Amino acid sequence: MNQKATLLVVDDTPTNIDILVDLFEAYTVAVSLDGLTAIEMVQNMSIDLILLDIMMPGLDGFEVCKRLKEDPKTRDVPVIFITAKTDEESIEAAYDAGGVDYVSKPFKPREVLARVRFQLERAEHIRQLEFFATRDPMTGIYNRRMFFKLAKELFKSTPENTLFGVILDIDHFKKVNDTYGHPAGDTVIREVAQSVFETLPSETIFGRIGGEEFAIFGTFISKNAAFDHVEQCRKAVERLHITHKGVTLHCTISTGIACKSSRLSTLDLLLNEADTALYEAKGRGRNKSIFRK
Amino acid sequence: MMHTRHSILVVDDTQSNLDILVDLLKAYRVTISLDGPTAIEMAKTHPFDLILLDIMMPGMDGYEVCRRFRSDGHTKDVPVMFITAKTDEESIERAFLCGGVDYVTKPFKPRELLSRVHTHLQLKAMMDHLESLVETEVAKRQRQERLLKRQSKMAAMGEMLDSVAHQWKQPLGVITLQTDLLLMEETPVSRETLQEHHDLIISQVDHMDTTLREFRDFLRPEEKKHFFKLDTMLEHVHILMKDTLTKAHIDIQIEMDAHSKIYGNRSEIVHLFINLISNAKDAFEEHLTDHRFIRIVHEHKQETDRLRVEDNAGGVPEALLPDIFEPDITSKPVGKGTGIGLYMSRQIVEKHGGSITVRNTADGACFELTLPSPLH
Repeated sequence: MNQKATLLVVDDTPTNIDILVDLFEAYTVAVSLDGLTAIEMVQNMSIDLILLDIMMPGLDGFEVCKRLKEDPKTRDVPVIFITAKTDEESIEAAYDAGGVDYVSKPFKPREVLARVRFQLERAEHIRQLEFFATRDPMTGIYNRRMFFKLAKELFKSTPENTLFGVILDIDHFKKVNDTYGHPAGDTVIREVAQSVFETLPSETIFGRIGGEEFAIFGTFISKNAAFDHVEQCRKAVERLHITHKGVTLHCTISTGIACKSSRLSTLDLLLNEADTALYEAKGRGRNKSIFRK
Repeated sequence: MMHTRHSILVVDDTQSNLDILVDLLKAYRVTISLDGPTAIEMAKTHPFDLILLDIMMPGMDGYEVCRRFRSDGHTKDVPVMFITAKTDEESIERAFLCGGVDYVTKPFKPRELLSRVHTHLQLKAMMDHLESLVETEVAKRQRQERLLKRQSKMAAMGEMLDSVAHQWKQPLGVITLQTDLLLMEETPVSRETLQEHHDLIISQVDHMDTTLREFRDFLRPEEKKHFFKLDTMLEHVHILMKDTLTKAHIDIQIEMDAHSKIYGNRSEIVHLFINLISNAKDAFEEHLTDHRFIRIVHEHKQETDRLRVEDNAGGVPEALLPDIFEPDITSKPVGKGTGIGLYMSRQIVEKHGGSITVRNTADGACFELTLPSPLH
């Protein structure tokens, strides 16, 4: 890892904290004296690993760990329990709560450092695997599988009328490939993806679902807001000057939008409707966004 | 969800320790080994999900066994948990440094050990799953690459089909004419006249057969490399492209030793020369050159075959020279070429362990290729 990793030490005894802060001088160390604060910190800071005491007033270590593992935003941060408890029940409970390692106090400093280093390496390895498993290698945005996984989750948790699905397709893409060759086509795909990605609000799900086909999934306050955002993407692509080996290319996209409703009550129905709208946009001259009412 | 039972390898030189672990881990498929070298051999043929490893063993100690696991492709991703009586910090640190994922001291707490085993197995399964997803993405990329190659082959096939069609026009014309002439002969037709017509028709059919066989050989490439005669190979290229070359008034000049042989996949080398020659032909179409020629020169030096393909078609635009072998580079007008021909040529040469370069001469381009040639 190039950057110094950030560890969060959670312990209600200041002397314990002092010892650990000293031990981890090679890392950036954040501290918390209680569980609730610790959870908030993990949610809002970029924490690479947590060293968690068990016996604390308020939330105990098991509960803190469980809550962290339930939240998709924090569940991937490895938790090492570090505690005076040595009974088997506690150790078992710690692993059941989602801990990856358990160290009893008084601990051996070099052992703790070795364990922390290993867990950081493994977490980094998993992060990389996860990245490459969920991204389209050409554009870096979500691949088809991940897009549908996230879309499904969001579909379940979002009420009607605020959730929108968009299918987006590069116009006359085959012509680009045939005329300028595949690498030029690849550049067009990359640049279009990049431009749309930058134009969309950050919490929107955006993925490549086919060769020159992309999909957007997200919540907007109104149909007009959704339509405006998609139009901004379309215009951003229209303005692009894509250069490939000295040649400047221009391209446009067509999009179809649909909104979750009592009629479009499943993800498939919603995206089918968006696809129909896209088809209509293509039929009506391309470089258009169409909202199926 | 049904799980296939995880399989665990336990390595310890003490039978009583093994007995305890086997009993504790009865929910899993457990394999045991009493020493390191045997464990290493076992792990080569069986994909374990986790290895529990003692440190102090006669012969090879646990650290060395772990290092060997790590450096072997079969086992490098299998987590290794040390289980040992050694409790000093140095031993623990060393265990992690040589690639261990955990360290448990004896006497161990059974439920703790089970929790640790379970956690490592879960993480291993998750990482394996991610690994397979990444592989799927990589495979997708490779499929696209293969598609590109197929397209290039299809384009070459299209050109060749054109060539065959053109080359058949003339013999088919001759055959039709011969049969018409035969009909006009006065009856009874003499044996000599029949023989004359027959011979003329057969010679045309032979010619057509040759073209067709070349075409078929190209479509069914042999996988193996072997030595073949350069002049016969170039003759075949010439047959395949005869019509194109005649129409474009291009003269092919070949300079080589009559017995020269080169080593490689014949149909791929044919493909390579077709690409280079049609590339030159397209260049001629852009330039109004008189006395158009393509000269092919062969030299054999120090187990290497050097081949030069020169033309007087005006050369490659300087700006394109550095990238000319990239898949999308073409000096042809938009819509004319796919720019794949020279890319494929380089692919073929590199597959044969050789290299291809291009430079401009006074009045054209000169492609130079080298192909390694093993001793006959």
